[in-house]
Amino acid sequence: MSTPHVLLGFLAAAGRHGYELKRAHDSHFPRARPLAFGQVYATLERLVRDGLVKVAGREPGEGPERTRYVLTARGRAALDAWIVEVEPPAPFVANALFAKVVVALLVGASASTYLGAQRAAHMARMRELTALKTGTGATVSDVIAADYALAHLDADLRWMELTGQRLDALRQEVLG
Amino acid sequence: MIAPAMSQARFADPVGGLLEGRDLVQAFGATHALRGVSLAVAPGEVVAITGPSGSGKSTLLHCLCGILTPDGGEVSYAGERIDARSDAHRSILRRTAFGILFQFGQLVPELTAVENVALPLLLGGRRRGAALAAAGDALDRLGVGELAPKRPGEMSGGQGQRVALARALVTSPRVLFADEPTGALDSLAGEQVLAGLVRLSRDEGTAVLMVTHDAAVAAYADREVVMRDGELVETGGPNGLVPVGAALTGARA
Amino acid sequence: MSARIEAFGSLLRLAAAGSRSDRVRVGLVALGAAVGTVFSLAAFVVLTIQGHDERYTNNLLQEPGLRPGVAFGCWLLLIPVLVFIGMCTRVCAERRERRYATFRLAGATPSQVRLIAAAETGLATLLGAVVGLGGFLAVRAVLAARVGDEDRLTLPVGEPFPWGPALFFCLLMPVVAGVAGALALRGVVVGPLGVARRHRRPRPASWPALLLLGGPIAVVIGDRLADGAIGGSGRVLLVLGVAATCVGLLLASAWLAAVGGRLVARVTGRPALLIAARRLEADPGGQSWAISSVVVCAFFASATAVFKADTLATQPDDQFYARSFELVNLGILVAVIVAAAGLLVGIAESILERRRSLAALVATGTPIGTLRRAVLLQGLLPLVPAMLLATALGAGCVFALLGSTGDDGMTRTPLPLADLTLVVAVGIAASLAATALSLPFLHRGVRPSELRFE
Repeated sequence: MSTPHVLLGFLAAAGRHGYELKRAHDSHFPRARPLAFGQVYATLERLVRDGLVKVAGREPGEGPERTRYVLTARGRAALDAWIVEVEPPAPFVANALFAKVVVALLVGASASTYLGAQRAAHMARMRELTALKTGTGATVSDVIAADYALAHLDADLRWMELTGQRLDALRQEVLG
Repeated sequence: MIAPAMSQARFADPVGGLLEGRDLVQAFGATHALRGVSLAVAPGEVVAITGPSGSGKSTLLHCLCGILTPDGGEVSYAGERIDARSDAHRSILRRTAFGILFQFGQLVPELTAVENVALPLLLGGRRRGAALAAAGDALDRLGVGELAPKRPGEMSGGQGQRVALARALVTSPRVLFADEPTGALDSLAGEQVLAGLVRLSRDEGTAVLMVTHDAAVAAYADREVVMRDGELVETGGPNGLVPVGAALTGARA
Repeated sequence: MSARIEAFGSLLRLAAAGSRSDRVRVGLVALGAAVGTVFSLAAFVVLTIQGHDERYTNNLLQEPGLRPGVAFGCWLLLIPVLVFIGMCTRVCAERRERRYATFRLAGATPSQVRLIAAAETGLATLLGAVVGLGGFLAVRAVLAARVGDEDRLTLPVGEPFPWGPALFFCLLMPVVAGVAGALALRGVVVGPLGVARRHRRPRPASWPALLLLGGPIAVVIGDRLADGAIGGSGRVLLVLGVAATCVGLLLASAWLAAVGGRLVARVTGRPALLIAARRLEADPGGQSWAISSVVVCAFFASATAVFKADTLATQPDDQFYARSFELVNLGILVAVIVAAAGLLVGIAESILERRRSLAALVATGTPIGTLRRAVLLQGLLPLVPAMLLATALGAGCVFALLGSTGDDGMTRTPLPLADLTLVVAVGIAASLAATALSLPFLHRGVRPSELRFE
């Protein structure tokens, strides 16, 4: 679910400790699997290594829970780029789409613009798949496989449409 | 990241073409169904008009095929204005150069299937025997030849829709207008109709203009235009959707 | 007990509630009931005249032996009125059935729904009866006020009004109409999900055609017997024969229309004719009742014409007969107008019922002129042959009658061709007028907005 970018999103507002990041993740995405501390710190380490995040300070005490992390300028740039980037249209991308919408709202970017761009990408992929179905030499297996992908993309589109209409309410909840 | 470009690009130049509507305005009482919509369709192109219900899609279709005279704007077919022509002229146009397919209720329930299909030919003055023969061929081409003597009430929805398509195609139209052609059909029946439409545009070079609210149906088109509240807000081909302003200036996403 | 009264009251309220189309239907039924009440009251009033009354200018009203005939004639006029009311109850029937389905969904039992149907028809008829009664009394009072003591009367305005029979009729008619309304639902099961009809409209029965053969034969035989020993049975047979012919004309027309439609549709290449013929085949009963009543009028009119020709031939200067025939023709003309009104309602209803497929036809390129012609043909196709047949039968029956009584065997009854042609022409003209008046419904029905809804 693009955990690195989600953490970047949480750090955009202010520096946070590792345990604060885990709590934020679990409260904003209650339906997803709770983020394990180990995964949080492993991701943070990678982000630090890549220069997207840096250590801002250490509280006195033991262990990495006391370390504060902040976003670097490069990290902000990477976050902004990720927000407007569309996910490759494929079945089961819904979690990634939702994460991106939430993070966009958190950092004040335009979620509706992103949704529009994502919809265009989905439609383009659906057109490709449909052309495959109606093309010469398409076997029944080809058609069935295309139908499967098309059905899931269609489901995503419907979800995007509904979510687009609920953005105001979601924004209040996420920022509230 | 944008999806990979289509390998079979059938994207024709949308500016200027076979059928064109310019600045169309239509109001029904206090409701503004169309607020200045422009659309051009090229020969052989499949265009989908999508958008939420009430956005004016069907009204746009009705204006473009001459059923409705718009309150403002122009409609041209093959370079000639048709919105100002008489009802009789537009009737003739609708049964010769245009083929029209609705969601339901378009066959005469009292006539047999072959008579329904032959009707445009009979109206054009063809003799009964020749008209019925041509109608029978049209039904055969769509795989519903054995339904010829049956009445619409005796067929399934998918069969009825294919008979209606046969009627729309019997005069070899240059443009086919379809308003939610698969709306009342189950998935497989709908797929058959859509496959028929695509084959039509490929083999006969017929332009297809379809109104739909279903993305999977719109995916059959080369190009999609999105309507909202009586305005065209997005238009796009294989490169994705662009806002209408950009499309008119030729910019691509 | 009070719960049942409350429930009944609720049912009455439900019967009275409805949309604009329901109000139109109720209004039309009431109109028909009002007209029928006027005819019936006229009959009652005529019957109140006592003995031989010289005051009346018309001999038919003077002679006590003839007045029952006049009253009977007035009651005969109720037949086209009933047909008219029948046509009116079909107006927007689909919407009403949906309404009933909603009641069922809310928990009404089938018999409660039948009660609602009966109440709606009954209340409409009661309203019409009251209006008819009131109007009749008012006009009568106005006419009575203008008559001096010594004047001769054309209409019976001086006699005491027969309140008993009048009120009885005004109460009876709504009850009968209510029962008819409930019976009309008998073949239709109104379930909560909507109406479940018989799978197809049943094919019209062909046996009434036999009545068209047997009826005239019975008339001839009955007439021959009437002179002989079993005169009573002879006269009965005669009357039965006439009745059988009329009933045959009424009932067989649906079958004739269906058969005719199918035959024409098989051979024609003209779109308007094809559409009209197939429509007749699919729904012959739709207008056939209304057409039948026009046709029955033609039967009586031609019979009258032959009678008149014969009578005037033997007694050319008799004022009595001349005036009587005029009165009879007037009555038939009124019947034709009522029948044509019923036809108008029937055609308009048929257009509105089909408006979505008609709108689709126009949208896919059928010129509206073709549809206009189809509507006209749909009215004319069954009408013209039936008119000719009825006219021939009417004239033929009377010819047989007169020929057999053979006054002196030497004066041949002349064939009043002019009059008979007039009968056919008037009948066709009335139907054409009714059809033409229904065309605005066509123009309204094929607007593109009709394409929208499911």
